[in-house]
Amino acid sequence: MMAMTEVVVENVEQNVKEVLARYGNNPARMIEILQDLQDIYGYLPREVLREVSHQTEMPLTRVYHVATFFKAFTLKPRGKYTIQVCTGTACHVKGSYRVLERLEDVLGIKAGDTTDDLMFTLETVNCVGACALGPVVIVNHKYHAYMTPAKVESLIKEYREQ
Amino acid sequence: MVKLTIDGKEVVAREGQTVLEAAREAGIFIPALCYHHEVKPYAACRLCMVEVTRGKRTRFVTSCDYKVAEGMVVRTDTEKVQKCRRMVLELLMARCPNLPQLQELAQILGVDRVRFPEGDDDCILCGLCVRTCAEVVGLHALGYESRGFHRRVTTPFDEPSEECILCGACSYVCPVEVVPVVEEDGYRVMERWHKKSRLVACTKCGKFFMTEDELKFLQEKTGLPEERLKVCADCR
Amino acid sequence: MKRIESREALLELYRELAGEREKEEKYIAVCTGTACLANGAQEVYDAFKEELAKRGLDIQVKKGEGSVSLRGTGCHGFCGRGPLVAIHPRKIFYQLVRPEDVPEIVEKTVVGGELIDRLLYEDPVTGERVLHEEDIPFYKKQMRLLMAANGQIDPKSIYDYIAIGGYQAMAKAILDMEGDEIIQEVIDSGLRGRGGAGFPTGWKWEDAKKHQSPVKYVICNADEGDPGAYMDRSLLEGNPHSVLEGMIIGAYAVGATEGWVYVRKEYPLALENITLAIEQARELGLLGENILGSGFSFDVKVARGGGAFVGGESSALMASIEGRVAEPRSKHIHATESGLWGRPTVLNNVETWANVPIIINKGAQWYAKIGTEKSKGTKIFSLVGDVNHTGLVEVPMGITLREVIFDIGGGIPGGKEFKGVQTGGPSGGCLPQSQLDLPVDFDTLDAAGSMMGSGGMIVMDENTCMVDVARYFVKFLTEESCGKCVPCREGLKHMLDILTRITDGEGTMEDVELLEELGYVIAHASLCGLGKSAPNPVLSTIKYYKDEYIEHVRDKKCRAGVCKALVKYIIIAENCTGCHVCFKRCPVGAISGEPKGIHVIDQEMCIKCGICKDVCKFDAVKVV
Repeated sequence: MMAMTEVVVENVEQNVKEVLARYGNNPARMIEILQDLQDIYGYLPREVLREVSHQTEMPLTRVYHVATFFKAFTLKPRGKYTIQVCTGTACHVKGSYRVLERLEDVLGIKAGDTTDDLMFTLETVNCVGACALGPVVIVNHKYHAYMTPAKVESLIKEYREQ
Repeated sequence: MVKLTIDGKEVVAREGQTVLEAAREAGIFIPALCYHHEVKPYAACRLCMVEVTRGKRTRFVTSCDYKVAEGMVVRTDTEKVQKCRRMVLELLMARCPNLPQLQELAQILGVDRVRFPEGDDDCILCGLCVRTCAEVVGLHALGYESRGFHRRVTTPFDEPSEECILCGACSYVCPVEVVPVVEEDGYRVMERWHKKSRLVACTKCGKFFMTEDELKFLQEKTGLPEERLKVCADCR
Repeated sequence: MKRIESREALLELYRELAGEREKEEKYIAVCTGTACLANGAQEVYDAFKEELAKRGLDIQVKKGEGSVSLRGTGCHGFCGRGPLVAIHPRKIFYQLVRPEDVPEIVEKTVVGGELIDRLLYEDPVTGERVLHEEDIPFYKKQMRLLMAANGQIDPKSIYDYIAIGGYQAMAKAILDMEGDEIIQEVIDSGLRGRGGAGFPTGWKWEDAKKHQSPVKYVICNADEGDPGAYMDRSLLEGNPHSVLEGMIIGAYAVGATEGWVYVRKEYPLALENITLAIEQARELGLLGENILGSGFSFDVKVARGGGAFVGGESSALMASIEGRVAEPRSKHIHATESGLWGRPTVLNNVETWANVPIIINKGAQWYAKIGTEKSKGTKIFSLVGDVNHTGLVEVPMGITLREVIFDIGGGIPGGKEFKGVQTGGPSGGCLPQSQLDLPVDFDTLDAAGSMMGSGGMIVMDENTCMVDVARYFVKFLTEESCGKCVPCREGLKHMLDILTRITDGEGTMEDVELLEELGYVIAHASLCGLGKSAPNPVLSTIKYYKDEYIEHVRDKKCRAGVCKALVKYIIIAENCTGCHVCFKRCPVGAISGEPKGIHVIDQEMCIKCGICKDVCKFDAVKVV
């Protein structure tokens, strides 16, 4: 089993300053600020949250709650590929839960977790609005329509080989 | 002055008061776990809900944040109120099966069984500690994490808060007394928040009476020098 | 881009652009809504661009006779048949178009005027090929007041919107009308909020107007969270200016100076298009200071959601714009009195705003002729699930469920039986066959135990387990609950436990009674709409599908073949050809059999993943 890749968090003060400037240093834009920072680091490291609290003068408890409340944010490092299984009603009715189970089996992780080799993060996502094409699985913004449990292994293989 | 009736009894209240405040002053019992007069109402526990009729409309509302109005008719004894109160308490007891305060309330409200699997939490998520630290002390050392049934009261990352001065206000306000504060070996300790702070002795009588963090906080707030502040209330 | 300083300038520009459009001999509209894009529409669009350039037909290059315009438009609605291409002026409608088809389309249809049969819609009953969009059964019974423009304009171009008459309602409103007049018009039109609650829009505006404040806000709620519903997404992607125009009119009417569009982050294209639309409107002076010289100044900003269904609840949405978590608050303080930052705020849904310019342009009387007595106008529905024609459907209110599902939707595929239709998302309920003739409007479905909601309409066939559906919605809501109040946070969790035990075959009749009791308390005692409506899917399925609950509980049976613990996967010997595919694909080696021999599933080892059923080409695997 491979060891967890070390994740180095750099340039925190500078990055936070830049991102805040994009939003006029307005702490009310907390969601966009944290999203942009997450885009830089792949997740929200503690140091970043602390720095945001410091620079916006918002209590850390407030920043922390926003970071843990919304599904968009993760405080844990993410994999190279984020696999999102749409669990909207239309996809569910077409069997998306079986696709999710198969993915969990093949990857050896539960939804919300990342594989130890940091290749894949598996998530469920609420309806993405492509209901006619369900079940829908999105891998790093690429949509895969009409997914079935039978297609899961080859999908993972495809990404591993890239 | 505002005149309203609660369960058929005429009550006189002050303009701007809530139904809960008016009821309590009139000696009428309405349970409420997330309410405290020192902080803004939060309407989270839902135990204080009552039926309010104004004109032709009857609404089912939380009494802790509903302002009184002339001629309002309030009922706490309807089937809806009883049913909801009991179920809310039953749900809380399932979440926190070992809290004497809940068991006492169960006796009063007539809840004699819990039909849900028991958890092992001790926090009823009333939020009084969070709101007291934020609104009364102004430090925001406590907050929430996550949402839904994963919601919990905590310090960020479960680490000792840098803002906390161990004033103990959260402990004081907790309705189920699960935030104990102890003083031992010259430290004040709050186990729940993994924090301790060295105690400061009164320069006059020598007794420990505040923490170093509290002292620093008061210095910053008042601008007064240490010598003035390091005297306990008895010795002033 | 030149600023439009006056109404005259706007009209002049309109005449110029409309004139140019009229001169367009031919244009090709390629649907580039999210669903079609996911199905390869970008490649189709690019193929057209390339092909037109190759032949020198592109209107950018060749002007006048023989030139062809190409537009990437918003969602056309017939999502199940995408990629969609419409060739004008003949309005030829091609579906399931692949990039490889493009050269043929340009050669045969665009240039030659001939039809390509295989790309035309085929009527499943008569087998006839249908030429025009409006003749296709899916579109015939629709009334596309809001969605028609989606097929005509490039949402990334404000000029396209102006060319079809855009912003003229705004000009009329801010230059010719008073705030009270506009509000009265909206009241008279009967417009009710399209986000789900159906509150009369005019009354909301009236209330906001009467609260004095130097600062007031209007907000567009584009946090469309109901799974299966994507009407707002398509409107915002396909015609963002219609929403903006509505907001400007509303802001002027109530005296607001600032507006917000709150878009869920899961809609990147909608975010992109509305942001671009705002920038373009500002550049042309249709947003900002002294619009069209009226003296009215107004601007709009975009806020992103963070991924929380509860963020669509009005007070939670406002908390979110303020940088806090999306936690609702008590509703006895109305937002129209004290909303965003404590100021009077009008929050309306995307579709509601999009209706406003139409009402101003055509008048309240005209609008009020559409729909029923208490539900005026049209409603967009997302018709999805087990139905032949999936997509977005815009119909006058009062049309029946049957007409939508069978006439427009084409009924249930695969010859299967209709079992139920879920309307209103997680706040709604499931209605069975017996309720199919109910008219769809704000109040009737409510009375039947469901609700019209924001417009999600999910059709379910006989292979859907209604207990599983109830469980699905409760699970969704437990994950989306903000956790503030006891009934929702604790109550829904226990509802989920009970439903899980029932689907696992461990439920009792007392459990079903407890579900009803929990449902009552959660519905009455919860703080916000999420909690209050959460029991609906459970209570409506218990009401209409009680037998299924009893079967799960008493007989440990799942008639739809869904609940894993209660079903078995077996191979029907007569149908098995021994192709050996299931043997190879079974992830746990639970299938035994020799090639060319009958295969058998070992029940002890089977994990009921469903792969064997997916891969069997001979229909030999059955779920019992």
